[in-house]
Amino acid sequence: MQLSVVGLNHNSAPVEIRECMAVQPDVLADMYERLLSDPRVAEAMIISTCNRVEYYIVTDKPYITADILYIVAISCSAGVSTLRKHSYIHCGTKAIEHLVMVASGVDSLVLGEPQIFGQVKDTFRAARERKAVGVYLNRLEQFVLNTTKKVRTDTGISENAVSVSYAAVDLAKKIFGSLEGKKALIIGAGEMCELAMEHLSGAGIGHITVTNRTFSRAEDLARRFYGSAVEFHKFPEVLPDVDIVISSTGAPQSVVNKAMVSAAMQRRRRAPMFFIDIAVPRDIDADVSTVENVYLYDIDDLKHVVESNRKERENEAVKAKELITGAVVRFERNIKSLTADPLIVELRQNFERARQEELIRYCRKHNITDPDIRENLNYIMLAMGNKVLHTPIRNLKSYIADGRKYTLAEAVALLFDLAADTD
Amino acid sequence: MIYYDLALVSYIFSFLLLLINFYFNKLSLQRLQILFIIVAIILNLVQLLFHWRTMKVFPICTLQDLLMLVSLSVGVIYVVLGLRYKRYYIGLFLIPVMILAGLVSLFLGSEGVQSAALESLWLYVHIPLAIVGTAFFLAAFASGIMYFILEKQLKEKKFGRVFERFPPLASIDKLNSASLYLGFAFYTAGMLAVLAWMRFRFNSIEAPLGSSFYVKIMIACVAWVITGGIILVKSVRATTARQTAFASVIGCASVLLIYVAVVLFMMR
Repeated sequence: MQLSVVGLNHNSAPVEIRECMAVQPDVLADMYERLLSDPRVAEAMIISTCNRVEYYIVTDKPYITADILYIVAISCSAGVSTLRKHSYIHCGTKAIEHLVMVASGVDSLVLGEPQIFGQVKDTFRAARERKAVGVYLNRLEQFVLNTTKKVRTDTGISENAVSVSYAAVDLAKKIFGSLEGKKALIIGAGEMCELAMEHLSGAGIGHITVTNRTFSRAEDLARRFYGSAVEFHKFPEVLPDVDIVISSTGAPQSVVNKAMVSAAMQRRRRAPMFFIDIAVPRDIDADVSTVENVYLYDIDDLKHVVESNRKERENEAVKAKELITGAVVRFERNIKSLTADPLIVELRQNFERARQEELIRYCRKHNITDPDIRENLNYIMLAMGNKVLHTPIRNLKSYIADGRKYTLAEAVALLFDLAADTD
Repeated sequence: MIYYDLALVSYIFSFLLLLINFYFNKLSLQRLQILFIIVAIILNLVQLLFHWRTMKVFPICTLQDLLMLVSLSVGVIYVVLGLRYKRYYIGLFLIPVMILAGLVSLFLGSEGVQSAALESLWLYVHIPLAIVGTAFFLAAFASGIMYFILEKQLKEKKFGRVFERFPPLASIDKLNSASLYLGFAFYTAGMLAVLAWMRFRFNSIEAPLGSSFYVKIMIACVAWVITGGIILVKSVRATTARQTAFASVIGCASVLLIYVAVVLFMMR
């Protein structure tokens, strides 16, 4: 049995193809049913996110992987040839490596993004609920989760912000530590402001106030994030109460000046204030940064941070890939050793049967009825059997994944640690 | 002194590991560094206990003992603050103090017997309390310096290793305040113990005018007033983190200078 994957992602397919192939929650059960109805598919798992759709199957006939596209095409407007053109197929080691890379964010659009880890966990859970998970995927799940955690802790792939709005929140944390209980003022109601508010909310900000020239838009945005809105001409009044100011308006001239900030700082007893100006042209006068305990960053500063963070993540991705490759080799060896399990069980059963038969025969022949003697005999035979079986079982487990071919004599010599010349 | 020699080696290794980790930022290196400092602290303590057993007197009678106590106190405070605030890079400023104390004690040998220390139990209480208080002041001084370094990096928008490794400004401020308050508490307790000792020795809480004790007490009082003043102003006027950091650097530096002056030049 081995793992195979057929799928497409942000690199291989445009969004319209990804949309077409995406598996909505309401059709997930049906899709699992269709996959598992093929007798050649032993286990299956479907990952469907906005950036990728992947079908993982466990099979001993990996050449059937491409056939999955025919099943997918039934519920997709794009034809099989289009899907085939935009999809990729990995089998065996490559498929396992691919899954770990997906889970650890190495294969993500935003390198090292953490959400995919949760999505992969959910995928395993969903597959288990639909009884599509067997021994192989069970083991694979443990391996993927452990390796992903290791990648995240041992490499810096998820460290440092790689988007402007997230970098802004990261910088705020460098000043305030935790953002819990802090207050933020958002000047503007555009997309950048919305993103910044999402990150601020995620970081546990205490309260957000939004101001915008069009007050209704400020109100809408504030409502979505459980904040409050203030009219544009009144925002200097709330300035002393806020710790973080993020500004992104389309104003041709500055909206926050040094006098405004100095006055606010006086009223807030010079407690630190953090200003992020992501507007072009800038909304906040540059000389605001000369006020004591005021930290001002503009879009260029943030872009610089983001760029250097991205490069750092790319370097860490190389380390992550090395780590994953090594781990997958070990996992495959473990999985292959599983094939020895039925043999070992049979070997032990044979021994047990022979032991019982011999014990009964011997006791009957010598008329042994004393339970103590019978117990002792039983113990001796059991101990001897375990000793005899220990070496071949150990060697069977270690050589089963070897892949080399042996003559019968060589195999016996290997199994029993025999030094006899098999030539 | 074999235990203390080994402790000193461990302090040095710990510092080197901290420097290396400042570059690489690996969890394993950080754990190893903490392990070395804990081993050093244990060895330092063992040495002091060994002294206590052989000398039959609590080891605060020689400069060597005092310096060993200084390195032990600073070490313990570093580990406690490190564990509490997860800010191990304050060690960049504190571990050199431990190493310096260790090296000076090696050169000093067991000279400078403080005969007065043997006279009363109150001095046995005073000296450790004063040393622990001073160690906290050292931590306050170090965190104050860290605050200014990070603040400068943030203002100048330099996002290098200092920016990445140092804790947030707010955390440094908390560390600074906690060190200052705890230092002052220990120092005050130490002062009260010395007043009790004076009552025992001079039958009054005033040392004889012009005596070396009088000078020492006056200097200690000045140090106490400086740190007390910083705390009072911080509490009453709600000073900013920057002002607290500035006051701790200046205040703690003056206290440390006074302390060094008392210990080094006015022991007898």
